[in-house]
Amino acid sequence: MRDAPDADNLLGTARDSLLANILPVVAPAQRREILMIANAIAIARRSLAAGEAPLLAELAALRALYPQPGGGETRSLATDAELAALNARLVRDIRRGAFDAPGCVRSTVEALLREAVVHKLRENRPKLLGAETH
Amino acid sequence: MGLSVTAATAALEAFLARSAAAQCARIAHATPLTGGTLHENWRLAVDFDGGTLPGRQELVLRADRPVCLAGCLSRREEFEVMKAVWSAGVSVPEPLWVAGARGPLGREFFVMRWLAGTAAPEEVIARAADAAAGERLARQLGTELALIQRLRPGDDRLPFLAPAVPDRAQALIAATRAYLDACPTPHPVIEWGLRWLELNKPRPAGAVLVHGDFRTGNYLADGGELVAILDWELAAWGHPLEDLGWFCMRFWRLDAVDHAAGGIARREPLLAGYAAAGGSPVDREALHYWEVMANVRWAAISIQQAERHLSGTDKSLELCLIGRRTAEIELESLQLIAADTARRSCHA
Repeated sequence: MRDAPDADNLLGTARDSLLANILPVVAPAQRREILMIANAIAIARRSLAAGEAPLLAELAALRALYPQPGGGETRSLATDAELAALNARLVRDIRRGAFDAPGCVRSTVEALLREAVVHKLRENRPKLLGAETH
Repeated sequence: MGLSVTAATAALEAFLARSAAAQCARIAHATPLTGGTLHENWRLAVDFDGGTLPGRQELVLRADRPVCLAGCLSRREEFEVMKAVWSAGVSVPEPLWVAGARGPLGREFFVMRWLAGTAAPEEVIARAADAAAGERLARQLGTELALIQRLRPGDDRLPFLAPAVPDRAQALIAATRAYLDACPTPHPVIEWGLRWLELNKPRPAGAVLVHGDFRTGNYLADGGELVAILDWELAAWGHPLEDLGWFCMRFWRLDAVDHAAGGIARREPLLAGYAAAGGSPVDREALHYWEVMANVRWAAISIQQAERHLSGTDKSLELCLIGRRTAEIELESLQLIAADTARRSCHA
């Protein structure tokens, strides 16, 4: 086992210290840099907390769009390569106009894209999701 | 890596004296200016002895960083664009002198007049919370855009700009796709936007000069009044609505999301200033199209910015954080496209 505290606690404590102890005493020109560092730590913490869940959700949605014979079992992240391959296929299909026609498939793809963006925003900038998450 | 302005003081002073036909020039102060990830800007206080600008002059020196993005004009070219728009009556810092890579700093730079004011978006937007002030500023910016657009392809002062293309929108779509094709990871949301842009193109228009990064943050305001448009390195022959759409991108509004015109006002005063100064009539559907274009391109550029960091050519926390803001730009593009689809289906 690792020694405590865990990564989330370490990052959170480091960020709190930066904001409480360093930010008030730096020159005004450095304030922006300190706030950027604090923001980067916050994003990294949220990404660690989310773990693989958003990627697995994205993978499930892509597999539903592109069913594989005999496939469908969601494992841990051997998924990176599969996720990239399915997204590359989605990109090719979007570009050749496979989802141009209004209807069920187009709506499914639109929802899938939106969901993937919402997952990213939960980590990157959750305050923007106030009215957007549904 | 710092620019050796302070190390090259003697050579720089000799250049300044020669350029101003002065007996001598002495740099009293040299202060680096913040802002801009692509260039280094220095504020110089220079004492000239005689010549065309005798006495103390407040100037700005703008030089390349060692790394410059593809598609950027060189400092010499940017200087020529500024001279051309200056003579067309556009509010810019008066461009004075340019030096080549063999000059005193060993890289291209130019010198322009320093002007009082702030370009910091937070300050400009806070000041524009007073509705009358914000609307006046937006109107002034619309006027500036109309003046910029008086420059047209064939202008023999700007031979270095890439030739105008008949279908600017398609050219931008193709360039963005080419960039995505070279990216190590697929970006389906940006592709979704590009496909929409391809299918919904408004009629092409005659090319005009576009600033290329016309936004809150790239103009100087003082006491709520417009002082000057800055940062001309992305100028190009483009579509008349291109800069207007870019200006209205949500990203620039910070928390003033209801102020579509750069966080300072609604769109109307911007468009009114533009029309009053002779801008071509603005079709609102076409403007919506160019706002989608702005978001889709900006999403791709934010990935490119992160890539500058990841490749190790320009390691920077700021570039990291821009990369992590891609999602919010993508969300905006999806919402703009969905709004358009909903509107069309209502009218069907």
